[in-house]
This record gives sequence, structure tokens and C-alpha cells, in this order.
Amino acid sequence: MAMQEPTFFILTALAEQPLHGYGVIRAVTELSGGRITLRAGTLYAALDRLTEEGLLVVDREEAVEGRLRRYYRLTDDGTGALSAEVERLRANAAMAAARLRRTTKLAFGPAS
Amino acid sequence: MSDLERRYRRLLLAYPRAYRRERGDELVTTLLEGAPPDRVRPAAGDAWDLLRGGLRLRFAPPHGRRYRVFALVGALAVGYLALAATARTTLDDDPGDQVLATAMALLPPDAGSTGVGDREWTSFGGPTELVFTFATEPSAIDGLTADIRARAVAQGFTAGPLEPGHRFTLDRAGQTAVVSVADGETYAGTAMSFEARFPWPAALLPAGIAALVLGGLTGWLASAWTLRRFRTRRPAGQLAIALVGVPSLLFVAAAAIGTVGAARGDLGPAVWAGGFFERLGILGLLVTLLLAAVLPRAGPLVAARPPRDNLRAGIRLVTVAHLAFGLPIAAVFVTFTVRMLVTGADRAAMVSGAHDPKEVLPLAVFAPIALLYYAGVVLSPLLLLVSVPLLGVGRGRVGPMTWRVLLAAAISAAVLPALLLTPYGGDVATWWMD
Repeated sequence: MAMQEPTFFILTALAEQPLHGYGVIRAVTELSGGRITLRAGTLYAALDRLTEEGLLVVDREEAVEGRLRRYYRLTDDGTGALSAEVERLRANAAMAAARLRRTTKLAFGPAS
Repeated sequence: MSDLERRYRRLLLAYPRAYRRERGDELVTTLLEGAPPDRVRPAAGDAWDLLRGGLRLRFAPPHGRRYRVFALVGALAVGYLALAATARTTLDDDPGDQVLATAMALLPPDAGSTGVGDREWTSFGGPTELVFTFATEPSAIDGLTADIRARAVAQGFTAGPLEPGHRFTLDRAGQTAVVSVADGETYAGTAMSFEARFPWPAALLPAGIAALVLGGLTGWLASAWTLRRFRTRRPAGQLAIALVGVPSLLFVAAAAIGTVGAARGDLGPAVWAGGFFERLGILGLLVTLLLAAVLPRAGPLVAARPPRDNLRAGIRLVTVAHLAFGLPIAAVFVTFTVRMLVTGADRAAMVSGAHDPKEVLPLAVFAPIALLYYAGVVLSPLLLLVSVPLLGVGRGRVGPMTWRVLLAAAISAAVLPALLLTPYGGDVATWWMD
């Protein structure tokens, strides 16, 4: 089943390095070109679900100025799920591009 | 603590206490880090997001289609139980079925007759309809109508004027009936037949809708709570909740389907009487809630999960399910045989009703065995669709003992229900079903 876009961007954000909650929010905004801005309640609902599905895991905890920060990282299953989604999107894009090329050729007629 | 943090923490009260304990500080950190320096009040979007997230954790089933389907089935089951209880209560006070006696009193004394009485599904409140059909010439209907009307007046009814179509109304002590007389085909070739169509009590419509809605809502909330607890229990706890919960829902569903099937043409209260399966289903659902409440949780929400061997876990799950369904069937066989040997009764005497299993076994033993026995007869052979492929896939990939136990469990799933089809097993099943 296709992955929802926020989930895709959360996993992508964590693909490079472990991040804490606000770090994930910033990375998702940046990666999506400002299209997706996660709010904290939504982010943590997604983190809970992805942790439960075994795609994420807590990497470490830190106290910064007396505040708790928890860093998350992808598990092997999480990397696998993201790779599978990347493959799916790549295949879809390739198929669409091939169709477009054919349509363009037809529009101009066969080369003689 | 800044005003903003205090306000965020106030919004976090929407979340369950256990969640706040685990996630609260982290969430507040994230919220504060994301807030501009001059912000003193939470943004409306953040506030709504937190309220929605918290309420979802408190009242919604866990994420996933499976959970939503179970919550919906739970809502329907409790909605039905509430409707059935309301129908029983309302119909117990309803004089509807007395109308048959009224109709009998109006029959011509010398006419061979047949009759039926039923409720219309769509009719709430309003008068009872009494339809008399005579196998006679149309010209005789005027006289027969007058006879019936006169007999009703003699019985103390107030009769309304004769209307076209040989119809008139009757009224006595608040009980109203509309009588119509016609010529035509009668049941079973008798000289006349009558049909009494009486309505459901008017109060049942609003009370039934309210029961269905409130019961459904309660069922949804209780199911969502149970499923949230289920999700965080250890695998053994999850299995226990599933083994009791799923058959219980099936029993309530069976009772509901039985009610719908029997209600057409029946007189009413008996249809909603609940019956054994409904009571067993209710008991099972209560036990499911209890299990969800008392079984320990698997561990902290955010802890890393150990890698899981799905094949081994699947084999264990199916084995335990087979055994949980098989053992009660075996227990019924053993109880029957032991009872027969101890009392010296023969098989005919055992099924005569003199050795009721509900009296032989204490209720605390009888109820769980009955729940798993009925579920096992249906579900255990179906589980073979899973366990047989697992036997093929698992050979050599799991320990020999694990594989052999699954093999034994799968054989028991085929053999034990099949034994119930033998003459001896048939007597055992008859005895158990009382």
C-alpha cells in the first residue's frame, strides 16, 4: 500500500541521521519545500505509530536546558520500508514518463 | 515555567495520563522549540492539533483498518444488545398479543377456522388490524360483517360505523382494533380464516433508536479502549483477549441474526428473549473487558522492539489457538463419559435432560468451556487453512518440538470436531447443547 506523504517525509528526514521532534518538523518542512508543516500532535501520533510498527526506534535522550529531547532513528525495517516506497515512486514515475514520451511522439507523428 | 509552557501543559491534559507521563515533557520541548520567541499563547492550529491528538488517544481505536473494523463490530454488537434489552422491556408490558384472544371471541361459533397473528416490522403504535376472510359468496359478506360487529358489541366493545370495504373500528378499555371482512381464499381450505396484525408499541421506536445509538456509542468506546489495551499487551495477553473477545462477538452476531430471522411472523417478546448464545456473548464480552483491564502491558511505548521471528510467532499463535479450541471439545467428551460411568446412565439417559451439563459443572467452569467449545467447533477447522501451510513452511525452519506440537494441534483440530459427527459424538453434542 502506498505510504502517506507525511510518513514518507518523516522517514526521509530520519534516513540521514537521528533527529529529535522539532528537528523532524524542520526537516520535513525543508524536504517538502514548505508544503508540509507538521504540528506537534500530528508528529507524535505518527512517531508512535511508526515506532510501534518497528520502523523507528529511540536513538538516545538528551536534556537541553533542563528539557527532554528524544532522538529517533530508522531501524532496518524502516530503511527497508523507505527503500520500497522509493522504488515504487521511481517505477510509477518511469511508467508515466514512458507514456508521456509515447504520447509526444504520436502527436508529432512517426519520423519518416 | 513560562506562561506559554503552562498553557501547552494545560492543552496536554487532553491526552491520557499514562501518555503524558511518557511523552509530555518531550512534546512540550518540541512545542516550545517550534514557537517564535514572542509567542505567549499557543497557536490555534497547535491547540486544535493537541486536543484532537489527545482525544483520539483517549477515544479512538488504534491506527489501522483491522482495529476500526473490530471497533465497528463491537459498536454494532453492543447496539444490538441495547436494542434487544429495550425491545424486551417494552414488549413485556405490551398488550399486543392479547388481541388474538379478542379475535377468537369474534369468530362465528360454528365456522371451521384458522388464523395467524403477527407484528408488522414497520408499524409502531396505531390500531390492531383484524382481517376476516370467508370462503363464501360476496353477497353473504354483508350479513357476516353485521354478525361479527354484533358479537363485538355483545362483548362490551364500542363499535364504530360501518365503512366501505366492510370495515369498522372497535374500542374497549383503550384497546382499539380495525376489523375488515372480505370473501376470498382462506388458509388450508377452511370456511374462514383470520389474520391479526398488531403494531409494535409506539414507545419502541424512539426508545429503540436511542438504545441503538447510545449502545453503539458505548460499544465503540469500549471496543476502542479494549483494542488500545490489546495493542500494548504481551503476546500471550493479546491471545487471551482475542480468544475470548472474537467468539463473544460471534455469539452476539449469531443471536442478532437469529432475532432478525425469527422476528418475521412471530409474536414478539419471545424473539428478543436473548437465549443462550446472547448470554454467553455478553458474559464473554465482560470477560474480555476484564482481561484487557488486568493483563500487564508489554513495556514502555517508545522502547525499541526486539527483532521478531514472524514464522515462529505465527506457529506459536496458531498452536495455542488450536489447543484453546480443542481442549474444551475434549473436556466435553471427557465430562460426558465420566458422568456416564459414575452414574451408570446409558447414552439415552444422558441426553434425556436428567444430566444437564449446566448442573454437572459449576458455572465458572461451564461458561468458558461453552464459549470456546462453540467457537472451536466452527473456528478450529477453519484455522487449518493457516496451520497446514505453516506446517509446510515451518518444517526445518523452527525447532522439531515446536513443529510437532503444531502438527498434533492441527490433527486435533480436524479429529475432535469430526468425532462430534459419530453417533457417540452426536450424543455428546446433544447432551452439551442441552
